[in-house]
This record gives sequence, C-alpha cells and structure tokens, in this order.
Amino acid sequence: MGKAKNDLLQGTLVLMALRTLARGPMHGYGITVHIQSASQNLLRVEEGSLYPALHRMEQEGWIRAEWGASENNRRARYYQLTPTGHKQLVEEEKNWERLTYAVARVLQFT
Amino acid sequence: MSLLLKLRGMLQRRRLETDIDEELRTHIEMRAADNKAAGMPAKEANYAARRSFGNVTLAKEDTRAMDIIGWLDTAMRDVRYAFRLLRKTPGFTAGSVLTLALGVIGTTVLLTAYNAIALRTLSVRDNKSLTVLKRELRAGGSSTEFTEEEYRNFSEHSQTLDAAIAETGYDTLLAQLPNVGQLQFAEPRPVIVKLVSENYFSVLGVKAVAGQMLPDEKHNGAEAVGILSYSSWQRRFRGDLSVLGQSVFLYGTPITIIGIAPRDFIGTGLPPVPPDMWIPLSMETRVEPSHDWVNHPDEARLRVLGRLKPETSARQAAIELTAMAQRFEGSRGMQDVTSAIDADPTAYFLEKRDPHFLAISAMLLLSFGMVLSIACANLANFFLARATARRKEMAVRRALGASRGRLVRQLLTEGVLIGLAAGAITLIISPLLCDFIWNQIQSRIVFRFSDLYIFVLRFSPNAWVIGWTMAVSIGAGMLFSLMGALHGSKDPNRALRGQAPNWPLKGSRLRVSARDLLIAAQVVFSVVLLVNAGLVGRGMARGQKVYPGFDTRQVMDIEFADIEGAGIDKAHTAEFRAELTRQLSGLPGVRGVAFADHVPLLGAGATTVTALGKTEEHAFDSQVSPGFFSVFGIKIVRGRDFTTGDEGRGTSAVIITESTARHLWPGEDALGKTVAVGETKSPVQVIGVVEDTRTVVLGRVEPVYLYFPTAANAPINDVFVRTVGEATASTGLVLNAISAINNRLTALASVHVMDDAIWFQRLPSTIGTLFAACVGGLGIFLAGVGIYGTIVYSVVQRTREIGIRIALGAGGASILRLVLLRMMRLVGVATCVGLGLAGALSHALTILPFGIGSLLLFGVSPWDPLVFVTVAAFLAVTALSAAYRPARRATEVDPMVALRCE
Repeated sequence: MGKAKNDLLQGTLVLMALRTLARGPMHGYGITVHIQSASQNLLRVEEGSLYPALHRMEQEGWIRAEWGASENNRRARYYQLTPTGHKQLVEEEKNWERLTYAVARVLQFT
Repeated sequence: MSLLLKLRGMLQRRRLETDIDEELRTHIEMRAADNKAAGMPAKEANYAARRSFGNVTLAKEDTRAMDIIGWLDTAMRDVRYAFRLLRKTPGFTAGSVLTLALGVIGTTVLLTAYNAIALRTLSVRDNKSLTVLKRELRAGGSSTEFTEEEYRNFSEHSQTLDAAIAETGYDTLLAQLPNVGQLQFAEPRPVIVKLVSENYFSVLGVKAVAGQMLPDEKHNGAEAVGILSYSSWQRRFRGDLSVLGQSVFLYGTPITIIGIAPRDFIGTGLPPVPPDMWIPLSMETRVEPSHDWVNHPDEARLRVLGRLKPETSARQAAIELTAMAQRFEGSRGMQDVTSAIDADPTAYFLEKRDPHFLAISAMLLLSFGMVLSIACANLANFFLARATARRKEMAVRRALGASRGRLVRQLLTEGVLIGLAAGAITLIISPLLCDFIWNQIQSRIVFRFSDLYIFVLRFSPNAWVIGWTMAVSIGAGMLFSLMGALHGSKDPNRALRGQAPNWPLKGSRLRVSARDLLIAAQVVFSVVLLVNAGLVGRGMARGQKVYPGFDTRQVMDIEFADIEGAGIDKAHTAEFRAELTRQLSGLPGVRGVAFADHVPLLGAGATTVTALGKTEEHAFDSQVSPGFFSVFGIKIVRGRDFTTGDEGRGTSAVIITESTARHLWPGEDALGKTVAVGETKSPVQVIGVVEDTRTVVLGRVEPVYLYFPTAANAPINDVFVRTVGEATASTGLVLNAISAINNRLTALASVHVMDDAIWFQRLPSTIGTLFAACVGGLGIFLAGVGIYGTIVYSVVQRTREIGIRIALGAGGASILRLVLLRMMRLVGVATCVGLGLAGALSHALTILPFGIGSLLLFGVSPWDPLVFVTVAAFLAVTALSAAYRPARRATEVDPMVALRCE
C-alpha cells in the first residue's frame, strides 16, 4: 500500500461517497468497504477523514443522516442522498469526466 | 432564560459528541467483526481495526468542526436569504419592525428613566457606607433636619460613624460675580449657595477638577473661600479657568473661589441640583447676617450625612444615634421629640423604596406592558399572515428536499433580524425621548418658577436596559416567526394542491383556532388598556376643572428671594412694607396690595387649635395682612377683616373659615368665641369668618383653617397685588415701581400670576392626562391596526371557501351574515372578558394604598359607564368594518375566480 494510493483528493472522496450512496442508504463503514471492493482494492478510503467529509456533506444538504439498525443489528448512522445531493452527484461526475479527459490529453501529448 | 439556553446548548453539544463517538465506534467495531470473520484472532482483529482507522480523537474533532462550520455556513446563508426576502417585502418588514418598536419603547423609556432616577448613585467615594440621618418624630412623621449642636454631638461622639458631614438647604443670595475674561457682570445677580461643614468634600472623597477643595479645618472666619460647581462654572463663567482665585461678593463679603467640583458631583442628592457654590458653614454669619444660627442653636436646619465605620451596619448606627439623640434631648431639658434616628442609604434623586414612587412605577410598567402585549399580538398576526402567504413556496422547497426544520430555521432568522432592528431602533430612540421629556419638564415646570435650579440627569440605557430591550424584541421576533413557520410549513401536500391549510370552518359550531385565539387575545388586551386609560383620562379631566374658590387671574405674587440682600434689615421691614404698599397702590390698574407668609396653594403653616371644652385639633394656618381677603376676592361672611391695629398686637385675633366654624362650634355663632392656639395654648378671639377656599390642595377644603394677622416686623416673602384686568398685563409696571424703591430688589424679585399656582396644583393631573392620552393613543392605534388587519386577513383567507358556497348556491346576503355573525360572536365574547378584567383592575386601583387610585380617578367610578360603552363601541365598529368589506368583496367575486385564486 503506497502512500500515493491513499492520498485521495478530497473532491474524489465526496464524489465516490455520493456515487456509493446513490445505490441506496448506507453507513460510513459500508461506504469504505464499497469503495474498496468496487475499486478492486486499488483505493482505500482513509477512514479518519471520511466522517468529517460525510458531516460536511450533510451540512451542505446533499445527504441526510438517520440512525438505523445494521445487517447484524448494530445501531448505525445511515446516510441517504437528498434530491439536492442527486443534482450535486451529476455535477461532480461531469466535473470528474472533464478533469480526467483533460489530464489524459496532457499525458498523451508528446 | 439565558440559563435555560446555556443548558440546552450544553446538552446539545453533549448529544452531538456522543453521536459522533458512537458513529466512529460502530465503524471500528464493524471493521473488527469483518476482520474476525476473515479469520483473525479476536485481539488482533480489534487492534487491526483501530490501526486502520488511525487517530480517533483527531477524526472526532475534525468531524465536529465540520458540523460547526456547516452550522455557521447555514446560519450565514439564512441571514442573507432572510435579508433578501425582507427587502422584497418592505411593507411587512417596516410594519413589523415599527409595531414591535412601538410596543417595546414604552417599557424601555420607563426602565431608562427608572435607571437614571432611582438606581443612579452619588458620585462619591464608597457611596454604600454613606448614610443620611433621618429623625422619626414622636408626634408622627419624620425630618432630615438637625441643629448645629446635634450635628457636633454626632460628629464628635459617635462610635459607629467614621465621620459626619452637614449641609444646609439651598439659599438664594444676591452676588456680585467677578469679571472673567470677556464676561462683565455689572449688576449683582442671584446665586444658589449651600453651606457645608469643612470636612464635607474630604469625607465624601470628592477631588477638585481644578484648584483645590475646602481645607479640612476651621477657618475662624479668617479666609472666606468657596467651591464652584461644575455646572455653574460652565454656565456662568463659560468654563474659564481664570475664575480661580477671583472673589464673589456675597453681602459685601469677598469669597475666594479656590476650586471647581467635578462634573459628576451634584452635591449629596435629593434633588440632583448642584448649587452655584459651596461655602464653609463657619462663613454663615458673614454671608447671611439674618441667619445667625450661632445665636439660635435650637434651629434645626442641617442635613446630616454619616459615613459608617467599616464592618458597621446602618442598623447598628441607627441604634447608637437614637440613644445619643435621646440622651442629648434629656441633657438639654428639651421636649423629647425624637422617637428614633434612622441611617438611610443615600440616593441620587429619590429613595427608590418610596412606596408612592414604587406604586406609580408599577402602574406605568403595567400600562406599557399592556401596550407591548398588543404589539406582540399584532406581530404574531403579521407573521402568521406572511407564513400562510408563503405556504406554496415552502411546500415546493420541501418537495425539493429541504427539511421542515431547515425551513423553520430560515423563518426564525427573519424573526431574529426583525427583533434586532426593532431593539436597535428602540435603544437609539429611548434616551432621546427621555431627554426630550425631561427637557420639557425642566423648561415648562422647573424654569417656570426659577431658572436657577438646574437638574442634572443623564439618560443612557445601561446593560440591564439593553438586555431587556434586546431580549424582548428578539424573543418576540423569534416566538412569533416560529409560530408562523410551524403553521406555514404544515400540510405541504394540501398547499401544493392549492388548498387552504386544514383550518376548521363551521358556521354552526364555534371551533377555536390559533387565529381566533389571537383575535380574542388582542381584543382582551385592548379593552383592558383602553378602559383604564379612559378612566384615568376622565378622572384627570375632572381634576382640571376644580376651582379653588378665590380669584387667580387678577392676582400677582411678587416673591423676594432675599430682602436683606438689598440692604433692608429687620428694623426697617415695617417701613419698607408701608413704602411698597404706597408705591404699588398708586399704580394705575392696581386695586389692592396685601402680604402673607404663604402663597395659597403653594404652602401653608401647621398648628393646633383647641376650642373651649373640646379636644385639640390639627389646623392649617397662614399670616395675612389687612386687605388679603379683598385682594383674593374671598368674602368675609361674618365679623370684620384685620386692621393695622391687629398687626401690632401679634396673634390675639383670628379669622376662621366657614368650615372651621361649623367644625368647632356646630350650630353656634363662632364670632367672638375664644380658642387656644399652638403649643403655648395662647388664647385668640375669632373676629371674623370667611368663605371656604381650597387653599392647601385643590382636591379638598380643609376642615380647620386659621388666618392670623402678620406681625409688623415679620420678614416678608410674598406680596400680592390685585389688578383691574389680567394680572399678566401689569407685571412690567409693578417691577418698575419696585426698582424705584430700591434698584437691587428687582434682581431678587420674581413675579408670578396666581394662575401659576393653580397650574402647579393641576400639574399631576395634567401629566396624568398626557400620560393617559399617550398610552390610550398608542393603544388605540396598535389595537385598531392589529384587530382590523387580523380580521381582514382571516376573512380574505376564506374567499375560496365563500366561492365554493356561492357556487353551491348560497346567497351572498346569508354568507355575509354568517361571516359577520361569527366574527361578532368572537369579538363580543372577548370584549366582555376584557371589560370584566378592566373593571376588576380599575377597582383594584381604587383600593390601592396612599389614595393613588382616588388621586388618579378624582371620583370617577371604576365602572364608569361612559368609558366602558365607548370602548366596547370602538371595538365593535372596528371589528365590524374590518370584517364587512372583505366579506362583501368575497361574495361579489365570481365563484370561479375565487376558486382559482389560491
């Protein structure tokens, strides 16, 4: 696990969290696990910075939190996308595509 | 309130922290469980989970910071959004800010004034240990005046007092002021002087702003020095420092000004009027030869203040001083007049525990509290109407994902902003208003009698007043915006469908909704306020009409401040009086001249009288010269007036009033009867009976009033002149004649028309009328606007429902009747409740102690039908006209339009 791999940009964390939540309500640990498995263990969310980001998103009104029971009956805080959050996700995805496209062009430029 | 908020904040933070704690813990536990499921041993699994999470504390803090930043962000956004919305509806914004400000301003002005008048303390060192001595008299009543010997006794022998200081009352003396810079004083002019003990300033710990204070030892008359007050220095010498070292000539005695007192030092209070100068007591015989207390040790004329020793209570001092005073009286073989000596706290203006003052303050607070309640009810309606109008917008925003809490918070922000604006306006205006009112009082009342007495009062709201105003304004803004917000964000689905909120409307059954309650509350408050303002106003108007029973328009009163200052001593008094009478009588338009020791309605003497074989009675008296009764137009019913012959004989003849005759000798002829008068029980014979007049207070005729002839050489203070026409027309002529006799007298004479005395007596009722008009006007305005607005709005709300009814075939007239009937029933019930409460309150007013109620009502019944009917009619008309127009309009609107209108 190199350091570079863990240094997720703040923006990408938000994007991935929103994308994960678009599948349905999920708790913080679930989001970590999903990102890790969906990226086939290439990406690891730094757990300590996930929660500040989630709370920030909640304050922005993109996600809503509610206490609920987890799969094995543990009390967990479930996050859910709000309509504003949906719009934000679309926006961020567009931005990300533009960014990767632009970066790819730069890298391919010889 | 603040404690509650703090507590809630603490609990909330605790909740927030444990929430984050739990969230992070769950995360780690879930990871550990997964690790175990992957085959790690339990201990290893936990450890790995914690390691992979990293620094838990740091994460916790970061998370919480996000919550706080987010909260602040939203708050800022709310404020910006609220500003934008408020700007878009300037009518609503201005209306609610003004309504709230109008409501709060009464209580704020009151608190600001209370603060300046009752809570302000003397600007002296350690004012808590400074007490003012008061003598409780065995005969009843109390006095703050002590003799020179008593003062020395307290000052030298008390074990509980560190030191005692003494001051005289205000004395007006004719002074030749020094020329300073450009200022030239050609003529002598009257100044106010206070004589104080030598240690006065050093005990008070007051330092001079320029020069020095009185040296702390006796002068033995060797050097005559004085301290100038700050206001006098500014007013008379325009703040020129070169006045220091110059001399003021009092009675030809030069007094060197050695220092100027600080601005805040106004003397030792009650009232806060600084004299022009403070001069050592030892100078008294030199500046006021007539007041030789050195030869009259029994004359009690010193106010004594004591500084308590550390660790000594005022009670302990009072006990010791009482014993000292009684021992002193015993040792001098004096009558024991003192039942106790109190050591009271000093005050700047008045004693705040004075029950009259407390009762009046409480009444004012109650009145303005009611004005505030009405303003609050108006505000609640404004917010409710606004929230209803915005239901659709709120519903859309909720549908887009905004939570109800979020919307409520946004409206709450608007409430806070409106409260802040109202509070700020109030805090700016109320000190100005206090100053304005005070200046009016000063210029119209104080200066009407003398422009020498300058009160020093400063009105500035302190922390408590600011706290009260802001708390009330913001609290009201928040409370009512919350009410509106909760109502407006209700039933978003119905709102989206364009339906009114589920608002009960049944023609037959009276179901009480929040709006109905509001209308009712508004009506009740308004009725109570208006009825009481009306009753007081009517009582006061009655007080204005009382006539004293003697002529006031054609009588002039010339008051001499200090005859001896003009060089007329006791031996020449009789001569001077004769000369004055001759000169004034000769003037065209003057019909008579008389002298008396008291001005009717501005003062009277007190004595006792015993008729043969009867008990001793309290009596008011005054000494009058021959011609007094004809000058005032008081008829002599029996017997004769005094003659010049009576003057010389002292007080062996008396003229009594008709009431006195009836009181002392019912059914008999009083003429020629003999009574014993005063402590000496000297016998006097009744030589005449005159008409009753209201001489002491306008409110009543005294049962016993005696007129004695003036002693030939008694110092005269007041000369009364009867003129042919209005007295005001002849003042110039009279003053010229006086200056012809002695040109120094004009500066000492002040001329009033006797109407001024009436005016002075009517002052309380004049002020009361103004106050009732003020509160009543404010109340009528707020109540009228509020009730009208609320009813109009609640009827407009039903336009749609009325449309449905008409579409279903209901007649316009029957709907109009339904709407009006329902409104009148509501307003009617509320008015009856209000009238009952108002009656109970005004009834309570009449049984209030100290006769304040009867002073206010002047005999108007607390159930005065005129006031009650008028107020009820006002409300009925307001409510009817408010309900009629929109209801009428609603019935005329095409039902289709009405149905589509929401």
